[in-house]
Parts: sequence; C-alpha cells; structure tokens
Amino acid sequence: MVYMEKYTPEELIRKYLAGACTEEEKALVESWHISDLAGSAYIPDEEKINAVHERMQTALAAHIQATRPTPRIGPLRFRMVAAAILLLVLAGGYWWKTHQPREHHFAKTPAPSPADIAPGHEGAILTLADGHTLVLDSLGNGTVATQQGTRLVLSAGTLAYHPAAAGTEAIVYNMVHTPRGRHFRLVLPDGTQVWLNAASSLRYPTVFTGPERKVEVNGEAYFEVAKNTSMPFIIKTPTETSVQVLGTAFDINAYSDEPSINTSLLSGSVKVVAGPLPSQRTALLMPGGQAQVTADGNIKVVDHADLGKVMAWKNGVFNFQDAGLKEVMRQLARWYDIDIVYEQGVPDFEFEGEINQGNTLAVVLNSLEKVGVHFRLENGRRLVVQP
Amino acid sequence: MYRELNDITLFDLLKDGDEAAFNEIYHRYQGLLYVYACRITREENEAEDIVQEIFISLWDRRASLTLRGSLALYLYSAVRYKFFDRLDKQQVRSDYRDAFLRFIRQGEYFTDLYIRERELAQLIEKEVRSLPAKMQEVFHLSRTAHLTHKEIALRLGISEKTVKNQVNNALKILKSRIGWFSWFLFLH
Repeated sequence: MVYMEKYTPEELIRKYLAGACTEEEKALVESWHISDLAGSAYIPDEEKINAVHERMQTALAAHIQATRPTPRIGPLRFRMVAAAILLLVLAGGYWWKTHQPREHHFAKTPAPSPADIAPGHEGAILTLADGHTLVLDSLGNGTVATQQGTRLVLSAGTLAYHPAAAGTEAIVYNMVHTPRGRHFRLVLPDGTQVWLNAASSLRYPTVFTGPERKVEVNGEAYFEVAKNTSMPFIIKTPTETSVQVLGTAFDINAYSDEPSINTSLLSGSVKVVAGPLPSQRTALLMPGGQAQVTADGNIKVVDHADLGKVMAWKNGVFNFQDAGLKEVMRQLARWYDIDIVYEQGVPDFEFEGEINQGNTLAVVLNSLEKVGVHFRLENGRRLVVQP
Repeated sequence: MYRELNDITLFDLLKDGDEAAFNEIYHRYQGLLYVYACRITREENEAEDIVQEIFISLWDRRASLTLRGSLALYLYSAVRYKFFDRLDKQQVRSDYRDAFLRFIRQGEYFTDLYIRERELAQLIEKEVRSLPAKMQEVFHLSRTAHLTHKEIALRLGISEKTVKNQVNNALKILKSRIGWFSWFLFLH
C-alpha cells in the first residue's frame, strides 16, 4: 500500500488537525506518530518528572480555585427535595395502580411500564492482557483482538480463542466478566466451553501450556471441559475451594452471597478440593452428584441433586423449586440488576415452579405476589420487600 | 475510596465537578503523559506546557466532555493533537518533515484504528517503568482495582446513590460550612 504523496507532510498534519483526513491519510499520520514514538529514547529523569508533577499540581489547584463559582446550596437542596417528592408520588401512583384488583384475568402479561425493569440479555466485558476492556454486547462478528498470536473471534454472541499454530510467546491472561443482567458463552483455547451466569467472571490464559489448565471463577459458570488426560483442568474460586476436572460437564456456583459453593456434576468426574493445606478436604463426585462447600471448609455431598434446578439459568429460566425468599431474591437481583431491601425481616416463604427469564421484572413479581409476597419498587432499582 | 474507583467512574464524578476525582485522574496519568510528551517533542518545556494545557482543559470543559473510548485513550489523543498543533506552528521538531516523508515513501502502516490505538497505548504505557516508584504504583493500582459505585455500594451494603452522594458530599459539606461561616461573620 504505497501512498501517492498527494500532500506534503505539512498539509497532512494540517488536514489531520482540521479533522479533514480520509481514513487512509489518518492511518498514515497516526502510524508515522507510532513509529516516531517507538524510535524515541528521549526520556526525562525521575527528578525532573517529580519536579514537574509538583509544579503542575500547584498550578492546577490555583486554576481550579480561581474558576470555582460561589456555592449556591439553598436552591439546589430545595430542588432536590422537590424532585424526591415527585419521584415518590410517581412511584406510589404506579404501585397503587398495579395493586388494584384486576377485572380481566386474561391480560396475563402486563405491558412494561416506565417503572418496570427489562430482563437481562447476552453480553459481557472482556479485559485484555494490557488492561483494555471491550464491551462484547456492542461488537459485531469477527476478530475482536489478538493476544500473543491467539485470535479472539466473536460469532453469534460467543467468544472463541483460536491459538496460533506455531509456538507461543509468554503467557498472558484475559478475563470475561458479566455484569448483573448478562449471560455469556465462550470457548477457551483448548475447546472447553463455558457459560457464564450473571454477575460472574472467568480469568484464563490465552493459551494453555504446562502440566495443567488453570482458570479462575467468580460467581456461577457451567463448563463442558474438552478431554485431555495429560493436562487436567483446574478451576479456582475466590475461596480455598478448587475443582479438578477429569474431562466432563458440570456447574459451579461460587457467588460470594450464597451460603455454600456448589459443584454439580452432569457427566464425567470431578474432584472438589476445599480448604488450605494441611487441613484440606476432598470429595470425588459421581454424575448427578453435588458437592456443597460451606464457609468453614466442610464438604457435604448430595448424591442425587436437582440438576434441572441447577441448570435452569443456562436454559433461560428461573427454577424456584424448594427455594426460600432470600434465594429467589438473590437470583432476581443478579438478573434484573436491582437491590433488595427487607423492610421488616425476611418473610418465611417456600416456592416452587419455573418462570422464564425473558419476562420483565413486573411479570415475575406479579407471580410472586400471588403467593402473598408484597413489594414496592423505589428509586428505580431498589426493591423493598414488605411484611 | 477514589483510588479504588475505575477511570470511567472517576470521569463521571469529574463531570459533576468533583475535584477529588480530578486529582485522582491527575495522579494516575500526569507522569505518563509527561513522559509521552517528552518523547515526541524532545523538548521538556514544551512537553510540560502540553500536559498542563490538557489538564486545564479537562477541568474547564468537564461538563461538556464525552468519552468515545477509555479515559486513557482520550488523554493520549489530547497529547497527540497538541503535539501536531505545535508541529504545524513549527514550535517543535524541525526534523519531523524528512522523517515523515521517509515514512510515507516506505509505505507500510497500520490501516486498522483499533490496532493503532492499542499499539500507541502499549508504547506509552511501557514507559511507566521510567516513572518514580510512587507514580508507578498509583498507575498499576488503577489498573487492578477498578470498582464502580455499584461495587462499593455492594461492599458497604448501601445503595449506589448513597455512595455517589458520599463521594460528592465531602466537597459539598465543606462548601456549605464556608457559607455558614461567612454568614456568621457577616452578622457580627
């Protein structure tokens, strides 16, 4: 690609400053800048850097002081109070309306009103080795980045790692993080598939080398681990619990606000290791089994776990079978990105049944109301559970 | 608390006129921007002027600024524009014309914007090692601890709104105290 020298360097710089460059010209100017920077060894010494830092800080403080407007607290505070009252009135109106007895029961799905909250969807945030982040919801299909020769390809909402065929350079780590209200699926460089539940993260190397394949999980993830007997797959959690996989499919729920870290096995076999050495405890799971590691490092093994309930999130449904109110609310908080407040303790309820995660919050709450739970939505995303 | 906030959250607070957020951004980036400006201008006084102009304009225009990418990218490109502006006015680097011509004739360049941004950021950030130890630490901390209001709220068990208010409050309380005090002086 040879640029035809339509313009002199001066003209190119001027066009660049005016924002009038074509894509090619812009690329040319910026690439020259990169190559010029790469070739520069002009670096000030530490003493100079410190002196400039101090001097500039003083100058900026003086500038801010000089440009600060005189504070006008009074009217602002009044306006804030007025706005708060208005919000309360609006919210009150909404709840009064929705609490009126309904005459037409056939209108099963209420239309989302402004005070309703939409369900979550597919998406995640990817942190590259150099700390840069990419919001994967908003990117189109194709190669989104390369890391040490490994290509990162996004296709139909799934991120896959394609390692370079030749030998690899130093090991670097990437992290995928789902905020509340997002699910995400990715394929690791060894072909292992991972589904991340909401408010979860997975950290992993962009290529697996050495004797083990090690990743770190926060929150909840379902793994279908690619078989490789010479390279065991190890999952670390924020606590001392880790899971060693011997080629297999399983779910790990390690949310910090859940009472225990649960590993549920669908097929193959896994070993759950809890607590630090030397008091480490281990449990080998059989398909259908679930290991529950509590905060004190004890492992309780359930031989026949309710796998339908465990896997519900991956299939896009909430399963509230035998769940208490707090357990239900934690799941709603993660999917609808809401905060839960109990006005007077936690009412004693036990639920059953499933509901689609594609519903808006109002629909889900409506079905919980039928059981007798009462709610109030405040400040947009605060759900108050009333007695 | 500010040290644990991510860049985007700091930028949001800055837009609301939060001076502490501005100071945290200064401590995170000033050293790196100065070294970057020195490397391209090859002239320490011009470099210092460029960086100071950028922070002054960041404060003055805070309310109207929007980020296209990260805060770092914004600051790096601000340095780049200031530098090109000085090239245009022939205040720095009389050697640049020939070097640029050679580069054009050689005909190899990065066509992809994303690759260029990454390449540039890497070149700039690798010089974090030439900063004094304390500045290096602040920069590295900012890249590992990146809490948002929401995460701090979760950690403290209070609402997100409350956190934002608490972060803002220090300044507001200070302002209102000064207000009351001068009113008090007025009466007596």
